[in-house]
Amino acid sequence: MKSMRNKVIPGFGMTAGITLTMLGVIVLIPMASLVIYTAQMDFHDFIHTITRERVLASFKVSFETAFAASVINTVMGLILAWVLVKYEFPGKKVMDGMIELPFALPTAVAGISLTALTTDQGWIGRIFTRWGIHIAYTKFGITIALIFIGIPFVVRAVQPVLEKMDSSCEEAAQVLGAGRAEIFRKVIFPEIRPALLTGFGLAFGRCLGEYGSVVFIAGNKPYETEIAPLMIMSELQEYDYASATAIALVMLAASFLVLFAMNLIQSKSGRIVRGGR
Amino acid sequence: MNKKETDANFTKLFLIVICFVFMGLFLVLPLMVVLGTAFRDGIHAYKNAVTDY
Repeated sequence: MKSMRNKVIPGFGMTAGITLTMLGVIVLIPMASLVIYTAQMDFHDFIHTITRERVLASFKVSFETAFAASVINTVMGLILAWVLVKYEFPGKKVMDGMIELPFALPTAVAGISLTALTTDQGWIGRIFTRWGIHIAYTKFGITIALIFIGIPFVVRAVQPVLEKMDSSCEEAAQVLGAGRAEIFRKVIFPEIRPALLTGFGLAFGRCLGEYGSVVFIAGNKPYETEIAPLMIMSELQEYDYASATAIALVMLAASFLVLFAMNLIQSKSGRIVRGGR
Repeated sequence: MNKKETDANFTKLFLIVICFVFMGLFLVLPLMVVLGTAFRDGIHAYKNAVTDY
């Protein structure tokens, strides 16, 4: 009781209660419903549903494109955040404001406009078609749509860390004779690595579940450009909720594993940056 | 201007150009397509399309 009275910030019980209630209602109950729906089928049916050739192909497409887009977003997100924080140039504020455009634009609109751009007759598509490269209705196109969707996550995760970074370490390294590449690799990168991993994890999670923007540009060719969320939609349209939730459960488990691995790496690198083991 | 400063300026310019190209291709161009398609048949066609319910 005494320790409760001595707390500097009051209201722990109430805020914890609200947080747990929100977590339960918004996150845990929908997730539990996935498990409950999937439990309607026996284990053999579950394995059969998630190992169907077409479903496995859709998992492969989803994971490959989400991973490729997230890697590209991580690199480009870092460059964008770096440029926005470190340099002054005309149009900087406009560029900064436009980063959130993918959040503002409905995903279906993004999908339609990207498809219009990248088909063989589109502004960008016709340039690539000359070299025999097709963007729309291929995995390449899906990756493009996912890059569009995921870029704000990385930029907005890295930007605040770069802004708050103490420049004295960089200056000290420079005084001690380190080159710019070495300063980036040994001083700056360890500081921003947790934020970069957060951005990667968020972008990957979002890309994995993205449906609206991808469904147009993918072309949905079975075994080639069908994504896992589309398979879930197909099952739902046939009122096969158990199969839909079985596929969703696999996606959920995979996303959870990736985010868990990211958190693990983050906490490890955070300990190293702080000087611990 | 010494070699280090020239290199730094080149890197800065290179990174800014990359960002503008990336933003142009991935964010501005799709937006332009949306606007271009919406107003392709003129403002009246656009008005009719959004009020045609």
